[in-house]
Amino acid sequence: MYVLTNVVKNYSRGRQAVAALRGVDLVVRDSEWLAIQGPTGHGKSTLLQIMGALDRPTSGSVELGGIDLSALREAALTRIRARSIGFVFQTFNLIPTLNAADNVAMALVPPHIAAAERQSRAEEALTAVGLAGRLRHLPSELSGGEQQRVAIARALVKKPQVLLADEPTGNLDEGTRDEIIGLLENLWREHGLTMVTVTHDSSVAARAQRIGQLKHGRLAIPPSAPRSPDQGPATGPAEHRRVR
Amino acid sequence: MNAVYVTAASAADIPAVQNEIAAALPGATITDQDDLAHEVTGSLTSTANLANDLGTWLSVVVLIAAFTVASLLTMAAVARRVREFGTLKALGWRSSRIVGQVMGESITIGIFGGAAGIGLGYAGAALIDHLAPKLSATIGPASAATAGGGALGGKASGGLKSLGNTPHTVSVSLTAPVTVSVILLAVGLAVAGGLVAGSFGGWRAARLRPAAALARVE
Repeated sequence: MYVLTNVVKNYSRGRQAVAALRGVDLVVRDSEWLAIQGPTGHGKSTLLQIMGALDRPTSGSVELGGIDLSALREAALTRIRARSIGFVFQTFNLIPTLNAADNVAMALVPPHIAAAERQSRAEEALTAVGLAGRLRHLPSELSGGEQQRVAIARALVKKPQVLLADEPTGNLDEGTRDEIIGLLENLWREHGLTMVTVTHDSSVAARAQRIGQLKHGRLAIPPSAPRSPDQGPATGPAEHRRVR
Repeated sequence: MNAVYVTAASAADIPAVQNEIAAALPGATITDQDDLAHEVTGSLTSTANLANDLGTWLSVVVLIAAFTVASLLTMAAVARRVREFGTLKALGWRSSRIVGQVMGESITIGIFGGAAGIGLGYAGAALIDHLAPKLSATIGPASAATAGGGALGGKASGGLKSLGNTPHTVSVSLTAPVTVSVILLAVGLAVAGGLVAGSFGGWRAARLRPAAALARVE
């Protein structure tokens, strides 16, 4: 479970201070799917990076499973990223010189898994996302949707507890978007993941259990317990309440 | 008249003839075959030393330039791969592992570059041996000497001490010797170059904050 308390993030741009997050409070329960929407530049990606231990808040605390990430040293954060958190990026971020299986296997290097097992688990993960026939293809030989499937396989191959997706369908056409979001939904159900998705796309956000709106660094989100996956999609901003 | 050539009946008479001339002409400069030989040998040695010194300093300058260019290229490559390293950090790769990756790649390139350099060096040395012009120094009673030094190393032969009164030609051949020590030095320097370049690149990669690296627009 994530518990964010009064999270503030300021950047300095030259002599000017920019407030990316202005006191965000948020609780994400285990196995919940939360979508965060908001205009570009209003702090969505910053919030996701702080939740993913890629960045530290200027103030406030970020707890994951009862551990305050903001108090940990970099080495401990690296371990948490290696074991507990999977990332999916808008631009896929695959390594262009490695084939699909090797890209996925990269996620199993930090946990010190043997090379042969890395390969077999990578192939399993790629098969699970429908890419059994594309194991040895380079990213440049794959479509956008296939590249995002590789990225999803890479995020999930280490069996993380959390999946953080930053605009996972932002670079895809509508048809591929629906395929990818359907895949994410299936994997979320199947693995019992805690999933946080940042998106511009209301139709993507609507598939989540709860939707938060982040504007000018402030998060508005319904505090109620999320619906179960079987209760259907969230209806959107009508059920939001400004928390801070 | 400013020069008089004197021939002695035999080499053994030369010192006596010199003494007599000195006594008869106290202001004259007397030069014998040994002085001439010494003069020419000295010129050849100076030329060879100059060539060696120049070669050494040129090698040092080229080496520094090569290390600098390799380091800058590695750092440029790291800059181009910022998002890749940011992604690896997001996957949980430690900075030290990423540094090791960059250094490993750099050293591997250094080893391949060194191997290619040895091949090119052999080819260049063979070409020099094949194409280098034959240089010579001629020494005779008229002290007409033409001398040349090798830029890469020269060998002189001709027996200057036994010149006598007839003209003698000393041949100077340009060579580019390739020895085991030179090859080992070349490989060592190539690996060292890879290490230096990899250290700079790795240091830069390690300093990246994951969030900043991922936010970098390519």
